[in-house]
Amino acid sequence: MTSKRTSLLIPAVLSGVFLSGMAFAQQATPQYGGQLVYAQSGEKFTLFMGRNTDQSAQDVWLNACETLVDMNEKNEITPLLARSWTVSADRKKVTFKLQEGVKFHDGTPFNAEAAAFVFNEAKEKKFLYISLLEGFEKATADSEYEMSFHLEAPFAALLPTLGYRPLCIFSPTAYKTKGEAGLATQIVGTGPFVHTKYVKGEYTLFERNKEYWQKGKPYLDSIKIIIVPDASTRTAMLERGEIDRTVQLGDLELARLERNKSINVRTVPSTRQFYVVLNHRIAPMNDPKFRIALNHAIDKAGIVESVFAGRGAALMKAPTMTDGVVAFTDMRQPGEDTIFPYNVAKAKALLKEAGYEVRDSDGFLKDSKGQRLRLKLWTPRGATKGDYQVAQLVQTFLTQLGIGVDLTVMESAAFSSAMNQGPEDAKYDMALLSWGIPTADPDQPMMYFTHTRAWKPVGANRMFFSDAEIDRIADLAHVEIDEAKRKEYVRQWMARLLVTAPVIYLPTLNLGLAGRTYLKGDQILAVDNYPAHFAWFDKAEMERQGVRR
Amino acid sequence: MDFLRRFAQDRVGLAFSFVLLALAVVALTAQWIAPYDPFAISLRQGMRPPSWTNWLGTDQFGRDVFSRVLLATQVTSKIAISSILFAVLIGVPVGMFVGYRGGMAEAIVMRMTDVLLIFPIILLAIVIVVIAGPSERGVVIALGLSQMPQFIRITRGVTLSIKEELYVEAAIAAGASTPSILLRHIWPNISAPIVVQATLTLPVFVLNTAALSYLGLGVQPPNPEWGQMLNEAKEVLASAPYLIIGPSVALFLSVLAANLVGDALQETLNPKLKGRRLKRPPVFGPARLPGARETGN
Repeated sequence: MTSKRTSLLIPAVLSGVFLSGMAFAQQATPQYGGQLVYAQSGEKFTLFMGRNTDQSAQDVWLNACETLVDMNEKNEITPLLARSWTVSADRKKVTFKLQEGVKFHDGTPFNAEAAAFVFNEAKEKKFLYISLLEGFEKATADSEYEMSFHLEAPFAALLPTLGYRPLCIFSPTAYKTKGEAGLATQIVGTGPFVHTKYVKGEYTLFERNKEYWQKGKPYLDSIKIIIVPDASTRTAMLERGEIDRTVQLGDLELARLERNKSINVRTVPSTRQFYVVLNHRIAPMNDPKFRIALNHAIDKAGIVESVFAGRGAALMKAPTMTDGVVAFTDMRQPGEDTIFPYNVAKAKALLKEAGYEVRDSDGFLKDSKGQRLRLKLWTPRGATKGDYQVAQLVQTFLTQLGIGVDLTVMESAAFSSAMNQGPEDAKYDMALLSWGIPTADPDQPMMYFTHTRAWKPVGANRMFFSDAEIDRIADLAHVEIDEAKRKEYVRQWMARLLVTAPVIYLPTLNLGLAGRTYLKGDQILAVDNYPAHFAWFDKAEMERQGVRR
Repeated sequence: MDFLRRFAQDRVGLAFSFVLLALAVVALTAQWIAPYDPFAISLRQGMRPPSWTNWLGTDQFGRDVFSRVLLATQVTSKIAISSILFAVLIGVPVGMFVGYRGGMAEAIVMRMTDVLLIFPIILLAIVIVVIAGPSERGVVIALGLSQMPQFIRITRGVTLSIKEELYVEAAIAAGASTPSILLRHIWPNISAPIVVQATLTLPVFVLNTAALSYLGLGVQPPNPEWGQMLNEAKEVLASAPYLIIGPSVALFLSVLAANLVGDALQETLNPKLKGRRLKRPPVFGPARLPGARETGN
């Protein structure tokens, strides 16, 4: 047996080290009390983690529901409900030693049986996240506080995947009693806060878990997460002290917010990258030359400058992957600032090779039969900051090339539904989306995004892209434990993506979090999480700013 | 000439009819008089405040806001006039026919219009746009359908009174066909209230076009529309407040001018109402022409 034992003290030590490096002061002694009001942009259509992978829902779950392992600000895995773990010699069995004396909010004990139930149920009932646990066979309770994961093949990304928030351990008793429908409005986990109220479309309320297993925590009395869809309204509420923190800020507002001495603005690079889905089942998007041409037709630097004020996003260094993701390699050519640099001449040449060129004085791109090329582009508005603006620019750049682009702005729920169709039902030509890697591990994009097995509705391959070499490399990397070999597989996979260009690659987002300066101890993670469950208020500073809660 | 003389007596109406005329000229010539290409982006020149080069500044993509406001005048006018034509060309013949013939057809049509009139215009329009899809055509259908019941009711009401006139009875006695009676004897005598209603509906349609576009259900990018421009400006209001000026002023002027001209027109065509300003159609509720006779069954 190879083993990795991790002390319970590590999270505290790690958080102490990392947080001290952040802009906010952590040296002061935490103070107890107060209600944190946190404004989010998006509504959750269900709170049941088995049926929802929404990014914004993760900040809701983490208050009340905990995962076996956690991820810190350096994207490192730290213990949480699992104290330590050991891996068998054949890498097909991972045994977790669990925290003892932990109780779910309904009073039932957290133990190996409960944890194993959640994962086995996820497999049986096909929870949305189960496709991330590729090769998961079963979970067994070996003793009261020892649970084993049995895998069909070694799974290099098991631990990062187990840190993904939807894989938190909910109470089996509550699940059996209330069912999925009951847990759609009620979170019953082991977290530092007890979920006490949920008003759909308005707010979610959490109150301090007095029996929380990490003694002395949490510090706040309660957390209220409210929904405020409009970014400028959220910003105004923060400036007035009506809320304590908010995310998804308008980048054009950041400079102004930073001048406010009562507000602390933090930005970090994220794992979230914009892209335009190209439906490969529709010609000419099944032609790699055409797809590469579209990639070269977009001025990515211009998008970063205009939509994100030069700071809310960054140029891509690799397809799909970003800095901070395990096994990342910079795939830019020497002297180039991004992959697929803006080059209209190259785009036109590739389009000509693909059979499309401007044949008349009307300026429209036509095929050899004189048929004009016209495509539909769908976009949501406000699902991710800047999405509507980026979609408009994509439309403009493609129009400049001679492609007719009909842009349709869709309401978030309608867009989400339309984008979750299988190959026969998908009606889009192109759609603007963003892709994050919440596990910070390449296994997720390799297996869940570009693999043939990940075609919607199973995975996130909305392009219906299929490439045998891409699949072969992904399968190899999935079971490879050796870090160097895995990194090479990932590099090969990205190199192949640059040749096949399944999507139009667009800039990588920087995340922004703004909070009042009296709020201490909250975090911003590159995986688009903003934990505040161990945050606290500096009461004197709060008083000085005239805020009372 | 008598009409023009009487119309000119309303100085406010006359003044704003010139404003409306100017807007119409802008709408007809927008693509030629715009100082810059309203669609041309210049990403490194975005969010520039008003200057001699760009009178209303540039938007996030470096597009000239003044040029886009001018083009939006054309887009809005096209939608508002198309919607009115849609409502009039369907509503008026139906109203004349059911008013003239009566019977079961009248009962069915009037009950249907009653049902449609229950809903506020904007709500009805949103439902129709969601079904038809967000586009200029969708907005035209939505606004046209939402106001069609009002035109049916008004036309039916005035037709009911006109058909009792002796000259109509004489035409019937002479063996004239129904279409001939409707076109030659009834239409010339009911056209005035229809024209006034259409004028009063114009600002309602302009505002609702802006409202739908503001909600993302109307004109789609890259075509500019005042409501859509206001929505985009709202997101950067604190950083670039100047972006809101152009579309706001254009919207305000066009609605004010259309309302005041509508009022003046109404007073000119219906001298009995002289001296008392009338209620205009509610912007987000069913539009109603005050003074028009509505005879129930």
